[in-house]
Amino acid sequence: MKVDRELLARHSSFTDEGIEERAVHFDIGGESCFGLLYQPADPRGLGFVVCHSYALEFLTLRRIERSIARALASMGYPVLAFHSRGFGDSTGTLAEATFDRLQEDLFAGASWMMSETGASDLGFIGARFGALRAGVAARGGDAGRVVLVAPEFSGTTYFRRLIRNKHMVELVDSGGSARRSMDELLDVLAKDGMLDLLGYALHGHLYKAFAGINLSTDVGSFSGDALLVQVSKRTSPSSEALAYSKRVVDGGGRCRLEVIKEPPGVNIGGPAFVSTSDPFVREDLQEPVVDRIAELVKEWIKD
Amino acid sequence: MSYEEFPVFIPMGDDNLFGIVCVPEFGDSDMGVVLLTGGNYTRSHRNRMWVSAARSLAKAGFPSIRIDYHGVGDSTGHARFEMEEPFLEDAMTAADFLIAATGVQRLTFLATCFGGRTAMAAAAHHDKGEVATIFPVPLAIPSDPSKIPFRTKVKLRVRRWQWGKKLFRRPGVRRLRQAAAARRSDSSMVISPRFKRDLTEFVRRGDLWFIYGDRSSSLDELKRLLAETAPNMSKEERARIHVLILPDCAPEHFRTIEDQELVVKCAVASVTGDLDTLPARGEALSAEAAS
Repeated sequence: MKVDRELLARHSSFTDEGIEERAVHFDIGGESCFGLLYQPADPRGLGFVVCHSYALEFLTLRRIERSIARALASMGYPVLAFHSRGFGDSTGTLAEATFDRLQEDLFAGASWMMSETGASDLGFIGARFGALRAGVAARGGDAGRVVLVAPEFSGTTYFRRLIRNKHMVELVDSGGSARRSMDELLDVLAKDGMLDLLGYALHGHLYKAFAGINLSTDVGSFSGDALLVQVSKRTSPSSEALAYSKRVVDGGGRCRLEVIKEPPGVNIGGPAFVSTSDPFVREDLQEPVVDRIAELVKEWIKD
Repeated sequence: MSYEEFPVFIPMGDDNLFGIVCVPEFGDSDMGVVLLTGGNYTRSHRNRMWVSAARSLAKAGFPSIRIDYHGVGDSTGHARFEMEEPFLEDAMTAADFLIAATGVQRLTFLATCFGGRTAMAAAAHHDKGEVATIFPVPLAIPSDPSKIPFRTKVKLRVRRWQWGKKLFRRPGVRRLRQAAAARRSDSSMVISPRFKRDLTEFVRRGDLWFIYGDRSSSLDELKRLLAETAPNMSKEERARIHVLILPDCAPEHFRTIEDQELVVKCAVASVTGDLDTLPARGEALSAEAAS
């Protein structure tokens, strides 16, 4: 087969509104990781890394991550969004994606981004579980900025919600006969080492490692500048968001807390394309929310 | 590694489609594969199904491209999915790029859900389209698209709220709704004329595989499609339609890792020509029988 490498290389990037989007591969621990680098024409000294989410949210939150990356790049800040080993278009397996390895990947990605763009300061971006990962990565004090969108503050709450969703579907499919308690399901996870969460593997080591993590009670030594965007049906900040914000401020940092009300039909982390009035038409109902998040990010970075 | 991957941005009008071209390290197959998804999934598909399929295809010597539709994932633009308006331009653009990058001379369009509509249209329109493999796809549309049943309007409105979603998830409510649906006449629904037209056009020259599960919700629609189209086809054309019914599953939901592995295995086998080795029953639903 004659592969036209020149053609493929020519199409590995494009530039729009002064931002170059470049597809890259780099090695971490012998695996090839895929990423997209959002590079402004005249980059500043602060660069960001996107922490992706898990399970279906890995796909459904991509538009939010991309929009934030472009918003920051438009203000001069380079951003790297990449897939950890075992995720998306990277190589490796999910079974090997332990908590430590996920963190190791983040910092390896950050180091690649900094050497590639010349950035000397680091920030993390994440939505939902990705925000939890970003918050955990920032605990060490290496990152001066974090953007947390609709964050999951607690690892236990997040994974238990996924387990509950799986159980609900099984319950409906079985007409109610497959009822099991959360403890029973967690026993299966402990015994088998893995739970199939509607087609996504949750490995026991990951559940265990994230179980003790709660960002609203522990922000570690993060004393930088945070933007927390709560996206919810309620219009007031949740107690966890307030607690996180307070801890950051108490630790000498700054936290801008914003609340976006989810319009009817929108479920951040769920499918973006939804039928509204015609069941044969699906529209992207999340787009206004995504645009608003990008605006908030631009306002925050200007401050 | 037995494959190499090249991420690419492919210009399409004002937009750039993002895709990954996966090429085998060895092999000289002239068949390339275009992998398509439903609207809410990005190129890797649920739990990386298309990543796995692309790499297995490369191991077997076949290059492929998996893409994000415009307005989805890492592609630019804005999308709106209409059942009767498949994303033909996206699939054709991806196919042409795969041909230019790898020199393949024949194409397979492989898809799930809404992507099935796109795959059928692209296979019919692309002169190098030789095989289309389609997993369960919704085929029925209202006979009068301007008339949406009142019950559907109510359902969509209720579902916009959290309490509505919870209500519909209750097993009792679900059973009542299923019973009501079974009693209802579906004369207001017809099989997509566009899909029928594309299928009729394509089977004049290409092989078409439908891979369903015996519990697939749209299996009856497939039966209707075959019953309505087969009588107007020649014997040779009917013989080009192959239907594989996988026992004891509804693979379109991809709800278990086991189901996903089966979808990937079938997808790859439909290209490598190894589908006969899979457990299935196909004879009862062949287009030949339907005629």
